[in-house]
Amino acid sequence: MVSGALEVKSMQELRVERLKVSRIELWKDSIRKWWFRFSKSPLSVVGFAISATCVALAILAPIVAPYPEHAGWYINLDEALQPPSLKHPFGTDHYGRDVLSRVIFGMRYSFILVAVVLPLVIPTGVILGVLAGYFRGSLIDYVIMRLSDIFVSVPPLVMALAIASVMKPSMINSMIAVSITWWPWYARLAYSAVSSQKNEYYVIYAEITGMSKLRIMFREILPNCLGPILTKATLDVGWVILVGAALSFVGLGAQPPTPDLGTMVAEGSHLLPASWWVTIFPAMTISIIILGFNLLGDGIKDIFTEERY
Amino acid sequence: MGNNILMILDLKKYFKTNYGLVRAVDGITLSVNEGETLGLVGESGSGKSTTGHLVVGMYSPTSGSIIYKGKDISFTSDKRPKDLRNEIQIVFQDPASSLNPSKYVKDIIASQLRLIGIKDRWEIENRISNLLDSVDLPPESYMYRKPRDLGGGELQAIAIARALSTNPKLIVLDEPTSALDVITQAKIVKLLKRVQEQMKLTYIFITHDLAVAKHISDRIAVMYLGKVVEMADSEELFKNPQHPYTMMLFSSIPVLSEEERKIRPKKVRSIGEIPSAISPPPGCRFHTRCPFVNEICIDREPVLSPVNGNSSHIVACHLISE
Amino acid sequence: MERLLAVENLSVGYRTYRGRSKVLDSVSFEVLRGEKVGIIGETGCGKTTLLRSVLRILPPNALIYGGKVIFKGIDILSSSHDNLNKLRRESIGIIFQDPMSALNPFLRVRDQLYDAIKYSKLIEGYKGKSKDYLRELSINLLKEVALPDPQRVLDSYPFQLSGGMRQRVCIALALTRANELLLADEPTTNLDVTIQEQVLNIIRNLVEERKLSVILVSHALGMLSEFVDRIYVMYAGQMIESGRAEEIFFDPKHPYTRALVASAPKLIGKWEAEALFGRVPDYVNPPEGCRFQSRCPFIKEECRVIKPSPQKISETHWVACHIYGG
Repeated sequence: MVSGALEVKSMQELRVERLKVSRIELWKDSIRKWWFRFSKSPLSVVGFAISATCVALAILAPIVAPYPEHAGWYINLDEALQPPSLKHPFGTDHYGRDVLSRVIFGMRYSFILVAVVLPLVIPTGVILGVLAGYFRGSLIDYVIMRLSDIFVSVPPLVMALAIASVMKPSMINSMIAVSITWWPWYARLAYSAVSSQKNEYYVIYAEITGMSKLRIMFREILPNCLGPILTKATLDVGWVILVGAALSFVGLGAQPPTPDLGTMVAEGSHLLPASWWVTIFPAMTISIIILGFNLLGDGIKDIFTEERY
Repeated sequence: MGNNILMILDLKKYFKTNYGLVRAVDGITLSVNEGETLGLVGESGSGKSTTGHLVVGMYSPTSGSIIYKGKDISFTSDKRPKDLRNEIQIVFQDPASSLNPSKYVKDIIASQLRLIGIKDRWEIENRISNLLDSVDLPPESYMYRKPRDLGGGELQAIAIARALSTNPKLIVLDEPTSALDVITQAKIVKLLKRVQEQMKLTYIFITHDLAVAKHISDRIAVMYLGKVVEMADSEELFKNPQHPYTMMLFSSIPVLSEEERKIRPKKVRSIGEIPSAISPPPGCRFHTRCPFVNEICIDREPVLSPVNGNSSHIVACHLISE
Repeated sequence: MERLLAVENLSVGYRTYRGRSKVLDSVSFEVLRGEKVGIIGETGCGKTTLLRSVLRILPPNALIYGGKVIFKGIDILSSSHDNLNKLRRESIGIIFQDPMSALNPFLRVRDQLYDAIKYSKLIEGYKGKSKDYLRELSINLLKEVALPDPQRVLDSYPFQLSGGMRQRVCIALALTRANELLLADEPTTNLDVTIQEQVLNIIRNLVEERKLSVILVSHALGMLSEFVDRIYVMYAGQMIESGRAEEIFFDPKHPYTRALVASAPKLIGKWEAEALFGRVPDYVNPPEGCRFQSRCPFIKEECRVIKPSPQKISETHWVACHIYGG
């Protein structure tokens, strides 16, 4: 004779098992739906392939690059300025360093920049935007949005110049410069998404039944606003890399011998047009990364677009 | 059917908009008895939904008061005592927007349970299963669904389950079936009636459909442009409608059979548009569309008075009160 | 009487992430000249898909599996683009359910009406006609739909008008091209009930004046009963019953039709509320045979396998259900 409480527990466990299985089914269903929407445009898939390849290369740089030691201090003037060949598919630069390896490591530095900036910028911007949007019309809204107006009006380049004039130019400082000027975009996105959801009845219901405002903002409303934010985040990978490269190009970012793509473009620009490979390959790499993430971003946007029927 | 559970006294709610002051509710007095269903019937601009929203605490009244079980609750829900929030619940009209589209059904109801202090995971799952069962939705199929994949009837049933989760005493139903087709509507009304009996609930049923109101309400109040123009027991209202607007509503209901057509009161042709609530017509608000309009109707506002001495049937019309 | 529109064995579905859905399953119906036909079905039964197929205004992920839509002897589904546009300009008009989304919120009513008139049969050769001429035509149109103060309405934006007025503007727009057939997808469902009556009367009068044929789609039985001559009952993309209005309402044969008629709240007597159990079937994996099987209280073996074919009950009344043969 099993006691009643134990019986109930095992019945519940059975139910949980059944429900757990159905949860896996649900995830599979969601992924199927996302892929259906994503792959409507074949270019998105191309973008995904390009982006994934670049990220993989960046992560595996020490293994994949043919001459990893060329990524730092290395001089071999005998090998300097060799045009592209089997031994050096992207040629060598004025110090004899293999351009291909430096480009691969350059991608790594670019993605490190992104991996530092975006995780700082996105939560800050989104949190502030959600607060401003939920309390739309109040002082909080005014303060946050005007603050974002101030920061968004300063171009990242100018901000980097300002910081560099006070401290040494470096990779870290260019990260700070980009971050400070970038968060307002996310604040604005979150602001408009949240303030448009605010009057939906599920929000009103949560307010009436006494849910805490913080919970409402971040657990009820925000999950419905992820579309534009994720899309922008994907596109921003390309943009941040571009801005970082621009800063390095003018000397405000990574300093030599760091194999930053922008620095490489700058160094090689003196060697045009004779030794074109020293500039062109890093520049092309920047373009390809941006292209890849832009196409990927289009696909991400499609995932959040409901079908029309 | 016993004592008063809710009293609304001369309730007014005005909204300031860019176009002017909207007098959504302009002085209504009602009472609801425990265990009964009061139907609030009207078209757009009548103020019926706003009244429901005021009862639930979405806004605070511009003037007048709402008394629940003897206590004055005429303020927004965040200022009301917590157990009160649990006792008065609401089901909104459009279930697609009243349920968070990206949350699982389980989480939607679980947040309500958490608000009444239930924390144990098993307890929560148990209760949600019971709630879904009580609205005829098998829990295994519905716990982990999202509102975007479900149809109107199912969503409304979930909204009802959500409202029931806090063990309420009074539920405001704001046009719960207006967005549903006839068969689903019948299902939901049947469900509501059954639940009401099982849990001894009081309903305020807001609708524009007189026929549905008749079948679920014990008493019906007809509203026009922020005021109550007629109120009576359901049966009485249908046998003996007095106000021209009530008769116009009757005449507009499309009916199926000859016999239904015959029992409809004197045909009052629908004319004109519903006037704006910003500048309601002077005197009797209905006079711009009333086929029986007299001079006195433009001069003075009629007062709710009993019909033939029957105090449970009141009408605001000059024609009747002479 | 001439057959104006004949839909024959139309099958339409959509491409979805779970596969291809088959919404309309070999649907057939016809409309004679001057006739008013109603199609009843609950939400999700495919009635909107059906109307859109007639005008071929289906969304991009729609798939037409087969069938014909024959208007005055020509198959719309295989027509050339030019022919199709000619039909849409000169013969068939449509009124949608939600007037707010059917009107462009950024344009004044007059601009939308002028556009409609310019590309219709109302003026042959727009070049050389002044704005005043267009305005006069528009005002006449608005008067025909009983809009008070047409001058003011013309100069307004849609959000400045009430729901009933917007729907009347939509009717006027539909009239610019509906010279033979008018399609109406739940035209009054979103309106207040006293306005519903007015708008329906306007449509009724116009239809009689211009001798139009109408296909009125709705889930509101009462409205249909007062308006149309013949009714088709649709369930889950299949036509299950058809007959004159009185036959459908007072002698419904199909279990679904009977549940429908019983569910309509009545003014007298008790409301049976014979609520059906179950849900509409999954269109991506529809069941074999009769699609009503999962909800039918009278289900038999053959219902699961063989799709019932129409059985004649009277000259004008047929039903597709195994209970009656088929």
